[in-house]
Amino acid sequence: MLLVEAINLTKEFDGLVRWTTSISKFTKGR
Amino acid sequence: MDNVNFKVYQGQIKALIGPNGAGKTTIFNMLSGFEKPTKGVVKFKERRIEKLKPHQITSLGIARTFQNTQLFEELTVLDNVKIGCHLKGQVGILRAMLHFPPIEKEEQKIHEEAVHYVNLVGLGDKLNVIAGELPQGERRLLEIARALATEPELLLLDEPAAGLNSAETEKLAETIYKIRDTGVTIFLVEHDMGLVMEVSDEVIVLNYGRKIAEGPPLLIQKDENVIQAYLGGKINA
Repeated sequence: MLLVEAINLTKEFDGLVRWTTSISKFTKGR
Repeated sequence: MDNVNFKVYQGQIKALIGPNGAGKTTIFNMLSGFEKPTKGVVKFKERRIEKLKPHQITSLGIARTFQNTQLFEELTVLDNVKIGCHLKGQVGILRAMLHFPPIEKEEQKIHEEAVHYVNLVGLGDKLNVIAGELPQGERRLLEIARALATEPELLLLDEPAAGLNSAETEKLAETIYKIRDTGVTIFLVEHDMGLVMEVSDEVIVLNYGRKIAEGPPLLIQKDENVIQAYLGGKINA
C-alpha cells in the first residue's frame, strides 16, 4: 500500500536564508 | 529543492542519501511539518499534509527523530518514552499532572507501553538511568523509542548513525529491522553508506535539491550519476 507520495516538491530559498547563508560564509572566510 | 517526486510503500525501509546540502533534511522537515514547500504536494495515506503543523502530522501517524538528539536530559529513560506515550494518550499531559480519576489505569497502561518500547530498542536494563548520562548510541536508541511511543505508521530517522561507533551502528541496524517487523515503515536520511546498503529496500539519491537516482541499493551503488555526485564531476541528471 502506498503510504507517502511527494509530488513536485519544491522549496525555494527565501531572502532571510540567503542572507544568513551569505553572512555565515563571510564569517568563515569562504 | 526542485520538483522532487517519490513514493514510500507500507513496510519498506527506504533511505534518502546525498552530499551535504543536497536537501535531505529539508525533505524530512516537509514530511513532518517543520517546513512548508514553496510548491508541490505531500500525501500521507492519500491525505494532503504539506500545510499541516508538526503535532497534527504526529497525530496522523508520522514520527521523527533529529540529527541532534533532542531528549529531556534530566529525566529517566522510562520517563522520556512515557512522554511519547502521553502524546497519543487519551488523558493528556495536563490531566495527568492534575491526577484526574481515570489517570491510574491510563498511567499503568502508559508505563507498560513505555517499557515495551524501551525493550524494543534494547535499553531494557537502563529504564531508570538519567538520559543525560547515556552514551551517544543509546541516546539515539532512546529517541527512537520515544518516537515509537506515539505509535507511528511511518518513522522518519534523521541521520540515526551520526556519531556512532561500528558496534553501535550494528545495534542500530538490528533495531531498525525489529521496528520494521512490528509493521512500522521506516524512511531514513543517512550518511553511513554501510548502514544504508545493509538495511534499505530502496534508496533515493539527491544532489543539489534534485533527485538523481532511485532504486535498490545494489543498483544505486553502480549508478553513474550517483558515483559522480559523490566523487565530483559532471552530473547527467
